[in-house]
Amino acid sequence: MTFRLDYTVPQQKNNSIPNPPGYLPPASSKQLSSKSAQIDSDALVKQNKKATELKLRRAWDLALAPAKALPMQAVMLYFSGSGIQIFSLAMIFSLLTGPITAVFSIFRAFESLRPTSTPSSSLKSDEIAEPSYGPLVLPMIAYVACQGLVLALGLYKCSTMGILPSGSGDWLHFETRLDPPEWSAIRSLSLG
Amino acid sequence: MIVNIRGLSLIFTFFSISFLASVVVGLQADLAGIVDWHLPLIGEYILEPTPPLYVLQSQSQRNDGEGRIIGLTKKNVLAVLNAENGDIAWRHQFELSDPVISFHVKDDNVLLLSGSGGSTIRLFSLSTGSLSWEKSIVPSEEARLTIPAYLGTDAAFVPSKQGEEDTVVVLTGSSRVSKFRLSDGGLLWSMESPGSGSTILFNQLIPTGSSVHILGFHSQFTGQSLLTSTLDISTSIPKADFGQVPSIIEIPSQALIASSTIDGEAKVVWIEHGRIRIITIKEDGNVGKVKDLLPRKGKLYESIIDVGVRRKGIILGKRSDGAVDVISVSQSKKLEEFELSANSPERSESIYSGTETKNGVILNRVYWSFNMAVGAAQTINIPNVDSSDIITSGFTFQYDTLSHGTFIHAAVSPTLNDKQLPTLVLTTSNGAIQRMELDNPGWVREESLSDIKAARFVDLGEPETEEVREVLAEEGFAGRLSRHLVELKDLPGYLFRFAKRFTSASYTSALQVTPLNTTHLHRDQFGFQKLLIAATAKGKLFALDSSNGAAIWSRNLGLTSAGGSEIDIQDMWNVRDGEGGREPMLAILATKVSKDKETLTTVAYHLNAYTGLIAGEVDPVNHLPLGKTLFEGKPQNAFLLPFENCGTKASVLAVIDSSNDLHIFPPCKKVAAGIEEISDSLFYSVISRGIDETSVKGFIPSAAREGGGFKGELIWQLPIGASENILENKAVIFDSISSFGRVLGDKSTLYKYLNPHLQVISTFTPSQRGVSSVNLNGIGKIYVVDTTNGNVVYQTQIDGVKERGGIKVGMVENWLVFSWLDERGWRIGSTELFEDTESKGVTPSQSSFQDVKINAVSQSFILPTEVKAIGFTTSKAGITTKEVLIVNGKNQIASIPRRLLDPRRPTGKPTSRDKEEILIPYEALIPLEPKKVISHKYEVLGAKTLLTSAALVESTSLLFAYGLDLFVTRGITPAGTFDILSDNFNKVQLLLTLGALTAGIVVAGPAVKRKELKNKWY
Repeated sequence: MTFRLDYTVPQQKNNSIPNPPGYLPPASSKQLSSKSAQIDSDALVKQNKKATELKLRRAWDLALAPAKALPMQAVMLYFSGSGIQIFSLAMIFSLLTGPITAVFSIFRAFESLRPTSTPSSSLKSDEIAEPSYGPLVLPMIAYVACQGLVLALGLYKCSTMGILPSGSGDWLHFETRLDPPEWSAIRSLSLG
Repeated sequence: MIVNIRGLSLIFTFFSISFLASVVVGLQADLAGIVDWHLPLIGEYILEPTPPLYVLQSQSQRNDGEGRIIGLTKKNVLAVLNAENGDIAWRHQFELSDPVISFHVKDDNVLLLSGSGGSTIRLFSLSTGSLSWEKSIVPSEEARLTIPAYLGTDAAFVPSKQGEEDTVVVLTGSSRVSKFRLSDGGLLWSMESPGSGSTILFNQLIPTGSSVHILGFHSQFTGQSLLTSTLDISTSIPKADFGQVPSIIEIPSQALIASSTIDGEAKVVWIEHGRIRIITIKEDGNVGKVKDLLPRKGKLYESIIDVGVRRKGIILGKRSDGAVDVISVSQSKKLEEFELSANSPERSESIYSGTETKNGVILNRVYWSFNMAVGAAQTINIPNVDSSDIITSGFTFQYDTLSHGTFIHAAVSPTLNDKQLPTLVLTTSNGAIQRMELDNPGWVREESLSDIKAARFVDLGEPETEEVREVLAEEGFAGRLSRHLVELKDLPGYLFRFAKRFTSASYTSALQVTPLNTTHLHRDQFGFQKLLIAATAKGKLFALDSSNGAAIWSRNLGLTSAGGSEIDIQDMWNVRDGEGGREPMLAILATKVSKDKETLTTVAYHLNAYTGLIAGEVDPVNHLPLGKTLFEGKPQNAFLLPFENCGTKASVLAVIDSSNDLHIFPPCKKVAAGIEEISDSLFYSVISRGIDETSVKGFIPSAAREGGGFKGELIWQLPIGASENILENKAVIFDSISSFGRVLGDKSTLYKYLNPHLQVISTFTPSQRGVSSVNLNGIGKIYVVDTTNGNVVYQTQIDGVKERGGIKVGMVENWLVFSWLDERGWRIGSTELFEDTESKGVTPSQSSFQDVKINAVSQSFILPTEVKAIGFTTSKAGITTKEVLIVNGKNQIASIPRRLLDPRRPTGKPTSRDKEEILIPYEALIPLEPKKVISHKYEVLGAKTLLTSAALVESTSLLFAYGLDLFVTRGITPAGTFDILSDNFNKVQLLLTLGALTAGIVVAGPAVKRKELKNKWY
């Protein structure tokens, strides 16, 4: 008989510390497939669907929010006047940079609204899909479009204030000319 | 949150910008004399018929008054100088149509004759210079013109008698005699001699006793003879018939009327057959018998010299051997002879002058002794003309002939010092006026500066310690290292200057610059201080410090004498700048008359601006520079070529001779080859004036001529109408251009028509031909000609121009400004040329042979003042607005803001686009703001040319106005001093704030870091 030293920490069979209320222990696929998992899945699907719907609605709300704020912003811009002052400039600055930063951080904005896709059938319900942006494509496009509207409003304001380089006069100082090809007695007066 | 921070930073930027640019608008009184200087001048003296006269201005408390020198000058000025210090006591300049003729002084009265035939008479107070009265005897249109202008004019104060008011009799127009009350100019009588006209010409008069005796000439078939007439002084009725004097007169100045010892009588003396003849006119007008003045003397006389004392009965007679006798006409005898006055190779020709004293006269002679190289003065004092007592004296004086030329007149003081020596005021051949006493050369006035032909600003280099030298390409490492080590000695100086500049520089301190001298020739921080090189007509060059007007050096290019100068300056150019430690160079073009006065050659010189040295050989005898003779005859045009001379690195000058050929200076084969290469794109033009037609002709250089130079090939010709007189011919000013167009209210662009080849020609066509009248009306025309192809780019016609006002033009870039006088007043026109295109502008990079449509926008305005000259401000990069500078009717230099002269000012209600463009609604009158007067308290008399130059700072423009007076200012800032910190700016506070903030960051930085770290733990 050989004597062996077991260094392993004895595994606890039962968790003595209870889980916090509402905490679901990570369900392994084995557990899911076994026992009463089949009964719960219907309710789960239902609940999931509901959440998805809610999330989509929220996504649309988020997407259209800039457009809803648009009239108010327009009124504010109207009242800020067309003079180049610090307040109108600050407003325009926010109008121009806001949409751009918003579009760049679009995924973060919609991150919490990703719906978890419902298992399509009970048979293949072994795996739960990662939350995807797939269903959010339309609200996201709408979001971008609405932010575009805000940007357009800002640009329109810029152009009414005349700070949008739209005419040839704005680029005049970048124009260059070659030296005249001819020399004349008059031209050489500029030599000294 | 981000927005807020950005907003804050924006606010900060705005505040700091507005703080920095606390704009100085208008010229402030405390800057007068700091930013500018003014040198009042009078011009060169006219020596005939009344040379400058030394008088004593009587003062009540003293017997001897202060010395004053009265004189008329070629600039049409009557000037009185203070003899003690040479300052101008007072002066008056008259209009060109009113030329000064002669002046006559008695006590505090200065009577001036001017206008053709001396028809205008003015009386000034000697002590104050105020005009007592002014009378015109005949309208200037009817006045008779004689040559010389003083012929047939004379004036004499009537000797005052007890109980009678002071009067003066004046002879004008060689026929009319008038008598005026001195107190108020009331005309007592005026009579035109009944017989006088084309054959009888009255020349001189003398009032004595109850008569006015007049000497005239009678032109007959056989020649001129003398004739006298006698009028009653109180009634003007002729006392007798014309007294015919049997005589033959060749030169009118060789006959004169002098006073006699007997009251009421006069003597007439003249030269005939080498003898001085004399005749007596009795008080009743009867003429005596012709006698020889000096019957027993066997010597022959060559001429009579009148030194202005004939009314005292003294004349000078010059004998055939050159010796001069003092002759008393009243006593009919020779009083004295000027010692050693006969012609001799040891002496120059003598200059005689004289002045009246209380009872006698003082006569003076000056000459240059070649042997001793000194000036010599001889004085004969006749205390009483009725006796024959005389006192003679003399002295020698040091005189700088190299600098001043020869002396051509010496005004002698009416009092002598205790050594019986007078004070002299010399007039020199190149225009200087100098006071001279024994052992005491006095003040010098350089009046040649009143006749500047060409002037240029020369930029100075940086101080040596801060100079950025040219990178020496061929220098090895060791060499450079050692050079830098050597230059390390300048480091403390540099650091000191840097610290000083950094802490203390402000607008006022920048304006207080160190005066330049020959060893200190550096610019100041902002480039306000430059060297001003002026070339005067007679060939004397001056280098002036632009900050105070002091002369750094002066140099003569040629000899001057009483007959004029052998050198006549044409123009001057900057051909090399002072960059990289080399010395700036100028090219001077002049014509030179040969010694025998037969040939005229064109000569060019290279001048070192720092030292005034002329490159090349010098004359072995008089050490004057010879220059480079280019060709015979006068140059028609000259301009710089876009080539550098291989040796001197100076720009090469092209000079056009009378046959339209091109010569280069300095001659260089490489440059000639270069010209050949670009000969089809090098254009020059000349104005050829023919008998019946004037035309502008354009040439290009074609075949190379033998001995250098190129033949000119005529490529275009622009005839100017036969009746049109060319008034002005100016080139467009085309310096650095910052913007190629004007941005409109809707942000579209009006592209400027930019053409560097434009020439502006203004002409005047009188409405009636052949009438020489002062108030002539006619049509003015302005042509803007492209000198490459001869096209008239723009042309405008002005109706109802008064010739008297002339037309003044000026053009900068695409902006043409012109002023004229019409029936109702002074007008100013403003035209801008734009490209008529919807797309991008093409000028000036496009060849001028390709068509460009032009859209000219014009507008005219009413000016409340005369415009005597037009100029423009300039700036280094051309960003600052260009303002028009004018010399106004009060002889002030004023600027007119560009926005007021904008031809695009809307005439109706301004639209929003106009408002966006900040156009001011059109108003016909351009007000003259006193704030816009640049010359503030000074009266810049006679300024004709306004030369501007850019300072190193963009905002500021330097101006040099010349013509008669000189005026330089560096205070022209059309857009404010936006790039110079104002004096209000607290630099110390800024530095302290920055320091405090830095300290705060140093202290607070670690604390904040510690706190952030702590926050991460919890």
